[in-house]
Amino acid sequence: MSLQELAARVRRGEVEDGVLAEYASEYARAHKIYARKKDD
Amino acid sequence: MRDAGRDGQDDPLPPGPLVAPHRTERPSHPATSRSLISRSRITDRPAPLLLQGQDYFFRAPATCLDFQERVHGGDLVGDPGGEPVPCVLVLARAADMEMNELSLALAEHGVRMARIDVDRCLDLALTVHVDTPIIELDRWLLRPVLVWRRHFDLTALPVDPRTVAGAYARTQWQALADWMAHRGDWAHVNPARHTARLDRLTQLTDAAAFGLRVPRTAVTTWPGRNRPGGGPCVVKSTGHHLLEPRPGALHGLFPRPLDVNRAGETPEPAPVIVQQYLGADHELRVFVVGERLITFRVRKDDPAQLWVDPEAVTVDRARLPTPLGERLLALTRHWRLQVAAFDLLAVDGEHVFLEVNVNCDWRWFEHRAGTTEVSDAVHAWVAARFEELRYAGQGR
Repeated sequence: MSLQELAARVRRGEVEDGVLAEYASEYARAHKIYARKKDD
Repeated sequence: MRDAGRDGQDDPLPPGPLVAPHRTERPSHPATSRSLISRSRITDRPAPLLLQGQDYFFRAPATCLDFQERVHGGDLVGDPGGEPVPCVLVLARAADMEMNELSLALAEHGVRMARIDVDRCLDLALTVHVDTPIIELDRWLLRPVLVWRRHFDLTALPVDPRTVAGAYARTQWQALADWMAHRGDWAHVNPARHTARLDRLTQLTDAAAFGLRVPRTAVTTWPGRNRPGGGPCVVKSTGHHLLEPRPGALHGLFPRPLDVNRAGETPEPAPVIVQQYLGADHELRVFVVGERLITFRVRKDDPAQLWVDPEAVTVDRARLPTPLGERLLALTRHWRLQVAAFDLLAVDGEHVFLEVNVNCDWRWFEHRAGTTEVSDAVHAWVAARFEELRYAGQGR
């Protein structure tokens, strides 16, 4: 699978297990926290 | 991971000495001279004005959330082998979510992005070739054509700089990062050769020279004796808005009203900006991405509310008067910035320049305004610039 295809699957939330699912879960958690935070 | 905000329970900022305890095993100076400096100049005085009452604390995790690093590191995509892969190279820190989002967005465009994070670089296998614009990062051979350094601050390097080994690591990474950010055969976003000296005070003088109104301002170690404009004033950091006394531990250093009762009759240990307070209807945050301007109206009760109580701040999209937009773009070109954010006050129908943020964050404004316009613009601009440089054959 290409880089583009993998990214598209993550963006669509279509990963359910493995390395990408782990990444997506961690990313979603961080996304929620940092969206509420201003640093600059 | 901790949430941002007021609670700094597990790592509070000590209000007292600004210097680490002296740990020299064998004193090289008479004890009397050292004690004079530490007692009379540092420990016996009140905490610096800008540190008083600052309770913002955030612990920045060093967890890798870069999509492309995870995908390539996990061998989920094939290695082209042989030829160096053209890439966007980002020097940042792990918790830079704008860059984490960029990694995923560039992957969607099929653009390779590589990452060097200051808080994750101690075990990094990296070779940067001097005679060719090639790097070896882990097991990948890459040709950066566009480099973006932001938030790569050596204070985040997980070492103790008071030790020889820590100081050594810090100075070596500092030298390499500075050189990479200036390298002439790579193109750069917000090139350091132009932006390295774009401090808050230079910004004010340049903005005034371009016809923008700016608040009356002084930089002083004696804020109690300075009232630019004669009325109420705000005290601001001369440097960054965040202090990182220990790697990953970020303490807020945000603007606050000048309270002359607290300012006292003795000089501060470090200079601060004292600026005329202007009662504003609202603020504008104007993002510049290439030649595009994206404006947000920000309503808040006090200067520090953006950081200490962000949920109470109202943010919505706004239109920018064309003449003001032209002035901001002229300044942006003068400073050689491609991605930046202006802060302006709206005072009696006139706009007053406060500052420009070169290492700006946009996701918070987008979150509050319910849009992804800045992210979309940044991702598209970087992808387009990459393609332009890639096919130009060099990255100047």
